[in-house]
Amino acid sequence: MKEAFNLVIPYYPLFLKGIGYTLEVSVLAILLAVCIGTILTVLRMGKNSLPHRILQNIIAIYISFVRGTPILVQIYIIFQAFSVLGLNLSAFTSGVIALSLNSGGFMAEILRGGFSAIPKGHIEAAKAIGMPSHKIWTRIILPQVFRIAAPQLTSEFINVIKVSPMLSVLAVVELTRTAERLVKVTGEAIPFYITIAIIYFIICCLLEELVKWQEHRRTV
Amino acid sequence: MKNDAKIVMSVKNLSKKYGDNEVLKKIDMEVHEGEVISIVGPSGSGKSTFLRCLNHLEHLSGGEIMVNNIPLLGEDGSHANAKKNEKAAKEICKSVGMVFQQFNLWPHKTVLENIIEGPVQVKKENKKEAIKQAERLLEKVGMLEKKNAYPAQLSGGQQQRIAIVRTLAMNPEIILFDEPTSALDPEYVGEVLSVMKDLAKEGMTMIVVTHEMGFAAEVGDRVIFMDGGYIMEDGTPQEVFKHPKTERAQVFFSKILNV
Repeated sequence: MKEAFNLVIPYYPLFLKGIGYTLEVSVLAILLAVCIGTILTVLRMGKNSLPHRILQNIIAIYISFVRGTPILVQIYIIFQAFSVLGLNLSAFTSGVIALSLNSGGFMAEILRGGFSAIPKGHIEAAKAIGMPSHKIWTRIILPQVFRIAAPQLTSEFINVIKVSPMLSVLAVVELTRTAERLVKVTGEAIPFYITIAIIYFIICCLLEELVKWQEHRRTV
Repeated sequence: MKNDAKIVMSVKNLSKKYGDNEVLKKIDMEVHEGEVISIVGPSGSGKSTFLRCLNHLEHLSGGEIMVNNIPLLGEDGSHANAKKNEKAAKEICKSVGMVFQQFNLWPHKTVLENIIEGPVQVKKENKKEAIKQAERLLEKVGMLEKKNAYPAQLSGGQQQRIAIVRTLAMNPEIILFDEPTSALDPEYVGEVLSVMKDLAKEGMTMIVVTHEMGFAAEVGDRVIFMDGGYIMEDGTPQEVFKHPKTERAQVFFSKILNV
């Protein structure tokens, strides 16, 4: 045990760097995914006109695709698609985009669940005072949707952190890739993998606590 | 009757269909300023749907509604009318308030925030002024001390009184009440009715869908009896309750008034 500890400790600057990357990737992907999920949710609701229905179908297909294909495949596709299009995005950027496009689809499903839990009367009460529809969304619907969906959204945030190691296939040196390198250099595997498992666990626990604290603060 | 008063709302030949099912048929009605109209009738008679057409929560299929010289037109087969109505409704809603059966307070906002939402966000009033006005209104209904509470912390009667204040904060000329006491425990009905009576005394124009025949008789200037999507009776409470002309109304009132 002590040996393992002594083996890992000297590499702490590399781990810190890896944590930094993991957090950066995850936070950016989560923020983008929330935006994507929200926009998809808003676009999916509403009028029954033909263009709207076509849009809703496209979104539905997008969401099934995101949910029905492996994230690793999605990461490869996004990365290759950008280079085919001649856009020279870094592995980091295209990785973040892939993660957020994926998670955004999941969040759209979660937020739709939250939306359907809001009594229709709350929206009617807003309409009845002549509130314009963008304000009905930002002031009446979305605050409630996020509140109702908070537990599932938290799981999805944690999920983003947990799939972020997939980006190591694009050579983004986040936490898992850091450990892999050290395993190759030192020839020891278990201590490094255990270390990063603990680090991931701590990050996810902290995130969960943060959300709980936020919820508590708002209900008091 | 206040027939000499200005007409604030008129309904001509209104119809409403869901698919092939016509729930409102050839409805005509005029509302004079300061009038209190009760709409009564068996469930399924179309009274709530009618009320909800008046502020465009339901889209009318045919006919016309005029509110303060702003028209709402029948939308069946007319995309253009539907577009026009969307716009007109935004204006109409500024002068026509609505109180719902289920209160529909926004649960993520405090009492005060619920009340100032319309004045500040829709009418762009100064926030401090809006708060002052909200506090005045809260005091009037005896609920000032609850201004920082959330709706879930209030009883049904209190929530409905707040919902009425929220409507009043928009300074409406007409208030529509959609069965305002039907979702309340019996012990809370009185406090809500008494707020409504005060409003009526102050000259507010009110259209009330209700099962409270006592309220209709005591406060109402007019009673409208609806059945099967038609207006069957329209007159003073005395006329409609005591001497209904149609058989449907006679049967209905004999059942509920002679318990």
